[in-house]
Amino acid sequence: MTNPIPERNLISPFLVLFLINAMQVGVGVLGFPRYVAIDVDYDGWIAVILGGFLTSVAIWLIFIILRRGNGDIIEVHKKVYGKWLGGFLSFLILLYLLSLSLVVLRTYIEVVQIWVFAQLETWALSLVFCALAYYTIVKGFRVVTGICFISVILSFLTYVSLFGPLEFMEMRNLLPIVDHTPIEFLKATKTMVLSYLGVKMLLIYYPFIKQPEKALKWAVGGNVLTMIMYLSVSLVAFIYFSPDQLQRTIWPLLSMWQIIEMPFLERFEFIAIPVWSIVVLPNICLGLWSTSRGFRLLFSFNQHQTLIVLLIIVFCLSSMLQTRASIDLLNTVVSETGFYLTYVYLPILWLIQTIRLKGRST
Amino acid sequence: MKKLMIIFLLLTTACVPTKIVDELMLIHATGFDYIDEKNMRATISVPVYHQGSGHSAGEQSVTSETITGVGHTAKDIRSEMDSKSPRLIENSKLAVVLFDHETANNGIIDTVDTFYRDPTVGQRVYLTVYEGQTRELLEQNLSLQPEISRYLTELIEQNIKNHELPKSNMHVFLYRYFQKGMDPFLPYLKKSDGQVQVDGLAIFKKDKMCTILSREDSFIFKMLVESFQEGTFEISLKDEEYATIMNLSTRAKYSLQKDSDSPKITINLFTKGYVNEYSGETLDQKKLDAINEILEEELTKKISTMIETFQELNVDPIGLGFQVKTRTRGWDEKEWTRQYPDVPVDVNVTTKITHGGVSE
Repeated sequence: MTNPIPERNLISPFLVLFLINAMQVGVGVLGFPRYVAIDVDYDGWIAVILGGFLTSVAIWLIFIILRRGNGDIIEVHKKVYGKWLGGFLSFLILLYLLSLSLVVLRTYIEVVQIWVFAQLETWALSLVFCALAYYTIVKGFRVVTGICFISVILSFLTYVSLFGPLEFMEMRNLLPIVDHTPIEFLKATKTMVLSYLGVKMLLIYYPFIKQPEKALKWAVGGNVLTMIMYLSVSLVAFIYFSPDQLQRTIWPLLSMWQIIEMPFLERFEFIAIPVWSIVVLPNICLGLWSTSRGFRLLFSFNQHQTLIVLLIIVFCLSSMLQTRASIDLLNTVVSETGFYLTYVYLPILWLIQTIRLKGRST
Repeated sequence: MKKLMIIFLLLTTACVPTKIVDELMLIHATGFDYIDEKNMRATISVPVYHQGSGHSAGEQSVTSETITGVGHTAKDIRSEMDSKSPRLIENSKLAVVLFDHETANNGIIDTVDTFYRDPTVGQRVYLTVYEGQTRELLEQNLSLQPEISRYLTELIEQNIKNHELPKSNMHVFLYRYFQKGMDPFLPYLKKSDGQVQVDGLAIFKKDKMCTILSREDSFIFKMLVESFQEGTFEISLKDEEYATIMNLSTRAKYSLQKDSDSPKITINLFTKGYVNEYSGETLDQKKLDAINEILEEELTKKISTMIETFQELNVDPIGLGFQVKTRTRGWDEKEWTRQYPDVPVDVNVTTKITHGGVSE
């Protein structure tokens, strides 16, 4: 490492659990059951488990790469490819991380616009989020981690809310189990993996973990926690909706919340959607923090000024995206990129790194 | 920094137009009447709050008022209604949607879809079919509960909980509409002597009503589609005697035999209850056994007839197709649609009468 990070900015290894989980659970959980069911109908829960397993493998791979490189992805790229090519690849990864923030922010605003405030201007909510993100990130990585912690705790609200739809469940919906071809399962697993993609921030914040060797189990733990949540949400969605009904429901989780009725609260989703803003906040913060940190390491920019520039970019882009179709396109492009980055590029990087290390030692 | 945050907060508070409850027309019930192929008339019912007078000053009584509109799409009608309304019309408190007989016969999915699309409308909205003009019904102020939508909601709720109506709301309707091998149903209401009465179940083929089950039949139908605890069932015995079975709990189990190319379905229905009312003289164990036997016979006969009727009409509200689908790998919907009218269905009813009440 060129300049080691001061002790007071480091985080305990177990907090990685919250970082991973908070980054994975975001707006995706509101809508994913529909996408898993496209290829394998209600065998989708199997794809959820397979996806969780594949993601654990990816986390393990990231830890191996970073441990060998003894630093973040920028350091690794520099060692493996040299200054220019490595720097360029790092730059691309940073762009991807930034786009993650943008996707989450814009998708969440869309949910608010459709479900709560139809006349809300995109820029208004975007401005609030950018201000909030700035406020958090400026205080450093430990505060970002803190937000992740709160977000994970709040996301447990989902489990409570899942009891409502059970009134109308039909367990037979899940039968017959495994009624699809392996190819269909592969497709569904690929779709599902996209919902787990939040782990790549690890590439940047790895050096901030106090004893990184101990963090692997916590990172996998966070991933397993996400898997349990996805599994519960998808199973409940499958026994609550009929297959064709699910395909017509853009946000199954929100539609399931619509059935919950309490004597003192007629519409549960009006409470749950604002609470969700805290659940998505760490996604936005981590993305922006990682990018600004990356730019600082890459170009020796001032992180504070970079952050402001990035916030303005995110703010402008999010205000420019207006229609459902464009938001959908953005989502697809970003998650596809993320998929190939994790499951194609990282293994290649690992291979090249192995060859380089071997070459050096002989 | 804090100052900056406060400025942000102040800047962004007024971005959405406010909606104040007192200044809105909150729709509680909507009714659709058939006019001709292209047009329908919608009637909305909004509650009117009256300030109490005299001894009960401050207490409010609620009645309802209606606004009607005619058009060929819901949007069309809405704009006509807006032009008649002094305040902004809001859908978020909608509790009941009524369709008249004619509309139900002509298909209702387009209308239901508009409500499903609208995130302000809850999933628990009751959809019902009414025998007459829904406009007339909504314009009434009934004596039991002057606020009509409240009356209808409580009526349906009560009948789902204690009587012959199976669970039903917009979610259940859409679930069944979109489920393969299953057809939807809705409560069927009629007017009787200044009151509204649940008159059974309207059975739909896709989104078009095709038959109506009587109240007794809808109770038997309920036994087939859900398990419940507190039913009441009256049977007539020989010699003009009657017995009422109380606290009837039921559970239906389906099984499928696939030895030949055409499937065969067996329905095993288990019921349990006690005799609460009996018009004869003595009610001993022998009599209870006799009642038990007659009950079994009668249920078996009625269920078989009901299923035959459904097969003749080619509707499947019980969801036999769904039962077959979840028991078959690579289920073929087209093949099933072809087979359905002739599929043999075996009905076995096992009843258990636990006791004859507290007196002997």
